[in-house]
Amino acid sequence: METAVIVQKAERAGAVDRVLQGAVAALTFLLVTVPLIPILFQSFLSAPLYEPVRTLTLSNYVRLLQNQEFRTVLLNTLLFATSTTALAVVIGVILAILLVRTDVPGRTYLAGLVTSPLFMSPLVIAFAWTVIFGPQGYLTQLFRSITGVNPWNLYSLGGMAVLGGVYYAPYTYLYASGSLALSDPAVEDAARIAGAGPLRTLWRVTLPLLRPALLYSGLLTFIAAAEVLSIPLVLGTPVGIELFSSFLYKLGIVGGTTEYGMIAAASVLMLLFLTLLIALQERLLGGGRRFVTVTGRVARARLLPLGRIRWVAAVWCWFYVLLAIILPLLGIAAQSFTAFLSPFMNPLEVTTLDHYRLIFEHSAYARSILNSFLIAFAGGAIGIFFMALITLVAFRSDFPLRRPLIYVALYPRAIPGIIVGIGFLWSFLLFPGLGALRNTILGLTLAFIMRYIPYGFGAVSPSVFRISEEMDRAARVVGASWITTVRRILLPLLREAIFAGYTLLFVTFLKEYASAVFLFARGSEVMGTTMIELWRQGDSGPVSALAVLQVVLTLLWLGIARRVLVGVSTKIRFQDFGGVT
Amino acid sequence: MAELVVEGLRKRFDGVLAVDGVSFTVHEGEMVTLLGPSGCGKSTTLNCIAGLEFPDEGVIRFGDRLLTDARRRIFLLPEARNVGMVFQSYALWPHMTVFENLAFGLRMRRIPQAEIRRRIEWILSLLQLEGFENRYPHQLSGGQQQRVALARALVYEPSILLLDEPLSNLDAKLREQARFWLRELQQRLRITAIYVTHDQAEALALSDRVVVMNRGRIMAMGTPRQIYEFPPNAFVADFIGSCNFLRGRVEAVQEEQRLLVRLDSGALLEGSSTVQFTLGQPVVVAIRPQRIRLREQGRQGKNDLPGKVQSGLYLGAAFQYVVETPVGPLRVEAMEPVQGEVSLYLPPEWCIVLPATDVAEPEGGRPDVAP
Repeated sequence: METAVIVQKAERAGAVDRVLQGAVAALTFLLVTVPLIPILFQSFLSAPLYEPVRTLTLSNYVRLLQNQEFRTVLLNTLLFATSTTALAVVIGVILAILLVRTDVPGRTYLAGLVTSPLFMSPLVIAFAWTVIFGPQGYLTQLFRSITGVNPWNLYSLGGMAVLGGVYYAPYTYLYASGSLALSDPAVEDAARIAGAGPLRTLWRVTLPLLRPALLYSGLLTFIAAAEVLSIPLVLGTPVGIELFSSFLYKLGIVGGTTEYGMIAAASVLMLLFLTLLIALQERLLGGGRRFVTVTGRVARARLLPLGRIRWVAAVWCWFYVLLAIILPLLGIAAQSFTAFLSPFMNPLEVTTLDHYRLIFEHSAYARSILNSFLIAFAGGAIGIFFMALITLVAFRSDFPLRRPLIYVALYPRAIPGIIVGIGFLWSFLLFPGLGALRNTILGLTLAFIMRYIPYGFGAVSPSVFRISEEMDRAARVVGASWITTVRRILLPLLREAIFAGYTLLFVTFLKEYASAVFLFARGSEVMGTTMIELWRQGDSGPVSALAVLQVVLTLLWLGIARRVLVGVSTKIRFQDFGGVT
Repeated sequence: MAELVVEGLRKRFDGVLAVDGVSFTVHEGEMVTLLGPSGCGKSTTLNCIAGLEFPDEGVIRFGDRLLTDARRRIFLLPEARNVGMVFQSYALWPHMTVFENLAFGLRMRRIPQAEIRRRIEWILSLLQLEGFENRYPHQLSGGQQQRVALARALVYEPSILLLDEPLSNLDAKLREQARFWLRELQQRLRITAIYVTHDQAEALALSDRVVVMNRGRIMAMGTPRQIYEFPPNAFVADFIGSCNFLRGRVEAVQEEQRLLVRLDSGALLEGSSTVQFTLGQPVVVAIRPQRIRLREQGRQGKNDLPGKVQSGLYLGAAFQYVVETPVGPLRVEAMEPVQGEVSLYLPPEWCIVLPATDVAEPEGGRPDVAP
């Protein structure tokens, strides 16, 4: 008798657990697949998917592949992605070795500056670069006035690749420096003892050990470069060079509804290509390691002394940081406060607040700041909570579909931002119940969350692995259900990681633009879309003002987050506990 | 009375049998140890009892409560089993104080606050942890953490206590003390307990009965003395303590439990056995280094062997030598230092004759030096 009762009770408790696990998994699945269905569907339709009269056809693909322009776009994208990757990996690995393994003066400051592009929208960086290096840029004009020739052409495939290399170098830098910090210094010592000099040690021992990190970050860069919108939009469109995302943007925004079939077919081909790359990346890393982002032991004691070369290296590093990051940001800040920025004019004579006034007086522009902040603040919070739950279902439950859930959750890495936007827009058009989300910031929030599930997953899962499974087992044994264990044990233990993930999502959502360009409407503008709108009107002053506001908001948020994180971590010393044994 | 019955337990991980047909019974108030090298399936068996792992086959019952029946797909969730468990890492929740750690299980059982206080006071005084209620785990020493983990497992008065290598994170001295009071506590509370360890000394000292496991199977079951003195096979003989093994064939069966073995080297040895052998059957004779006696040189009686000391180790409590003899090198323990030519006596009552089918070298952790 007693047995039967207890079995029943336990089954009921288990059922509630299952319902929550199932809901998290189903929501993830829907969020990722619903936007992809209309794209796949549309790619085989003869007319826009909301038209009553339409037939199934392959003509979209045929038309696309016969299209000379598309072929050029593919070639350009491939060229751009390859050269960007090569540049980013070289810059990243040199910086990582110099700043992590050698005694270059000012390494700590440099390390912070080198990774700073990560916190900024590529849109902002692209605008900033045009201010300094564009055809009418500050340095370009200065150089031209002295030498009489055009020193460089930013508005070219080469110019775009250089900007891409700088923007994505932090990926390689982070993976390489993480790998360097984790590797055993004894292997280098052994090479020195065996008779190799410092440079030979770097070349023959340090660098080969970095190969996995370089390969992985290289692929990451390639995928990001293949899908980036801002760089070709800002640097390529003025001279008619198109890459994949800017091509879709043109088809969608300029071409309008007539091109739905082409857009869909191009998207499907791109998705297939990126899915292959992601699968390759998985293969390279394999196992659970792919979830482990960059974590490192605390700085190692002994560094490679460079002798006098260290001053050369320091000058090189500072020159790079100054030219690639600091100068463009100063430039865009200066432009936002001046009526006209030129090397031939004293900027103090043309100082103005007009650009900021324009932003705040124009309700649509001001609203875009508020919308961005709301999505980042509330959407980021909801997002990270949801992503933490996905991680826990995937790694800390006996949910039968937990393995497939991991793949679904990580799949958005293969979906370019612009395709996320198109997919959500079309699913709002196609599925009757979803129409209400169209043109709302809720719809945008959903798209942002979907696009960045892998970010939250990556931010939380290393910490999940660091909590010993005996922690949850202990709770289950003393009588807690899975939900109670998650609520009382796992989430509290993860709060540092969750907060760090929230910070990451906040910054990411604040700067997100690519998935919004197709989704926003009057009332649901975000900072990125407003910047693009203003830029299309040729208003570079207000664009700069908005860019500055975005960077300032980001820095403020990071400053606050750092304070809070320190507060959280001093309360509990997690590192003493729960280490996987 | 309420005894724990495990029947035909099988568990596969990725096609590998971690537990392969394990059956045993734990009587009420008894302390049983699952002993074996790492990967022998002892922890998996414990987790199956706790409900943390679901076996592919087998039944687990406690009294008249069915905990697991793989065929009927009945798996009581861990939270419904009312067991207490102490983990190797202690798994104290770092964000909760000692009091909150202990109260957690009581709150899950909807016990009123006043009763929670009373019970926690009781268990803390039992484990000499008074005054530690408001400490966080990281403010405790290893030994204190270990006792808090035990308190957390006992405070809600579970029907069974499961211990998964609970002493392995303590240093050697503390571990010996902990053995004593753990055994005393278990006997005072008369709680049914299952203890998992790879440390044979711990198993012998702590348990009423020992279950020796290897590669997912039970190799021996019995009281610590039975297991140590009359190991049923070479694996157990070698894993618990250490052993010399000599191969041979049965030459003659003498009186009860005594037989003569013709070793492969030609020498004749008298040994004991609890099982029946037929003449000519291949066997292995096991003898522990401590049981071999060193004698003055030149004796040539029954079970006497001449030898020459090859190398020696000083163990503190004794000396261990490797002695080259006509039947091969033997490990011998002696209280006094010796060297050069010696004579060894292998007492027949300690020469355990085992079936040669077991001679397959023991796999896994094979201790080379006696404790």
